[in-house]
Amino acid sequence: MASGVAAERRGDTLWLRLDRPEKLNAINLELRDQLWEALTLARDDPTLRAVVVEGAGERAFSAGADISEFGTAPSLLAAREARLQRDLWGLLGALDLPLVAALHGIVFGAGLELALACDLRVAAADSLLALPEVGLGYIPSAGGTQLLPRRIPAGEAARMILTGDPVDAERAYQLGLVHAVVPASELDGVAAAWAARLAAADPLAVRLTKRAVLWGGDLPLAEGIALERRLAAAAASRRRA
Amino acid sequence: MSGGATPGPVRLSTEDAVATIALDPPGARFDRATLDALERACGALAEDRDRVYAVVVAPAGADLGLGWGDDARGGAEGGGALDALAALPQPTVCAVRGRALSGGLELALACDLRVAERGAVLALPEVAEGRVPGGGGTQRLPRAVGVSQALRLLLTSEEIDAAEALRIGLVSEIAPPGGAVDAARAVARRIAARGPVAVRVAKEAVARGIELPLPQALRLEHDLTVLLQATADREEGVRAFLERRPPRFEGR
Repeated sequence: MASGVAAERRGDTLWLRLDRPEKLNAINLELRDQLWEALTLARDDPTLRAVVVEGAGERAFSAGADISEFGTAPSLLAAREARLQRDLWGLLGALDLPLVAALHGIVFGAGLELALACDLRVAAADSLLALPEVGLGYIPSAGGTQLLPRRIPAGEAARMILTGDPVDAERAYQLGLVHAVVPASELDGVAAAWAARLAAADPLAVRLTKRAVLWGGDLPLAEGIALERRLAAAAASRRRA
Repeated sequence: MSGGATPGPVRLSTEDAVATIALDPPGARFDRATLDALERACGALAEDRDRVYAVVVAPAGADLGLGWGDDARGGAEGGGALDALAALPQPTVCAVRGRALSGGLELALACDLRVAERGAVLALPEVAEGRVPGGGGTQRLPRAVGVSQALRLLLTSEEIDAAEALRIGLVSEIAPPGGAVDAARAVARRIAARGPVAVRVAKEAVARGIELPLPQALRLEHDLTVLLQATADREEGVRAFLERRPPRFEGR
C-alpha cells in the first residue's frame, strides 16, 4: 500500500496521505484515481467534517505529476476524455467539505495545484513551492494558471508561472499563498488543530460559507450578495427547525 | 533583429532572446512621440515572437516615469501604447528605478511583473492633484494587489518604497541601488530559457482565464494543455527531464 493514497479517518476528519515517498509522492494515474475515489466517498459522507491532505516521507509533499507516464495515452483526445471523466480537480473544486493542505519540502507542479484546491494551507518551514512546468515545455494543467492568480498578487503569480522559479515558505506566507509557517515537527499538530476547529464548528455553516465565497467569487457583487443571503437564510431556517 | 539600439525616446535592443525597451522621454514624462514609438516597438516585438521570448521595459534615465507630457493628457493617457504593451504575447518584466509616479507606475502595471531597486518610489498621485488616473491605474492596480491595497494607494496618493511594494506583491524582487535593470534582465533570461511556446501559452491562459468564471477558465487551461501535448518543445522538455539534461527548445 506504499504506491498511492493512504486514507485514515481520525474522529470527524479524513486524513489523505500521498504515499509514494520513494517517488517524492509524484501523482501518477493510480494515485490520482485513488484520490478521486477517496474524495468521492468523502463527498458523500455526511458525518465527515474536514479533510487533511499531506505527503509521506521527509522530502516532499509532492513533486507533481509523474512524468514517466507522459505520452502513454493512446491519443490526445483519449487523454482529454479520460481526464474529463475522472475529473479530480473538478471534484475538488465542487467539494463543500473544508480541505486543509499540510505542506512540507517539495511542493511542485500538480502538488502545488492540489494544495491550491484546498481551502487552508499550512507549510513546514522547509517548504519550496513552484510551478516548474514551462521549463519542461508545457503549462500547469491542474488549475495552476487559474487558481494561483486568483489567490496571490498577479505579478507574483506571473513570475511563478512564467519563470518556474520556487518561492520559499516565508515568501509564500507573505504573499498569502500559505496561511501559516511552522517547524516541520509541528506540521501534523497544526493541521490537526485546524481540522479540529473546522470539525467543532457547525458543519452546514462551514459548508455554506465555503460555497458563498467560492461561487460568489465568480459573480458580480450584487449577485454574490444575493447568493450569500440565500445561503444564510438556508442555514438560519435549518437552525429554527 | 539584435544588437544596435534605435535612437530616440524609445530604444529597442535585443540580446539573445531577450528584448529591452529603454524609455527616455523628455523630462521622464511620456509624451505623444514617446507613446507612439512605444506602440510601434510593441508591434515589432509581437511580430518577432519566434526570436524574442521575453521583454524588459526599463528607464534609460534615473526615473522610470514621472507622468505624462502635456500633449498626452486628456483622459486616455496611455492610449494604444500601454494596451499594446499589455497585449504582447511575450512576458514583460518592468525595471522600476527612481520614481514610478502616475504614468510611470501605470507603465509598470501594464507589464506582467515588476522588479524594483532600493530607493524606488511608487505612487499614483492623481487624486491629490484633482485628477483620475487615465493610464489604466484604476483597473490594473486592483488586479495586481487586490482592491484593499489599491484603494489605499489610489485614494491617499501615498508614495511607497520598494520594500512596501514587495510586501503587497506589487513587485516581485528588490535589487540593490542601480540594479533594477540587471535584475529584470535576469528574470527575463530565466523566462526565455523555458519552453517559449509553453511560456506564451501560459501567459495567454493567465490573461484570458482571469476574465472567465473559474469553471470555464479551468476548461480553457485544460484545452491549452492538450494543445501543447502536440508540440516538439514538450516532447523535448519531458525527455530532457527524464535524461537529467538541460532542454534544447526550438519554439515549436
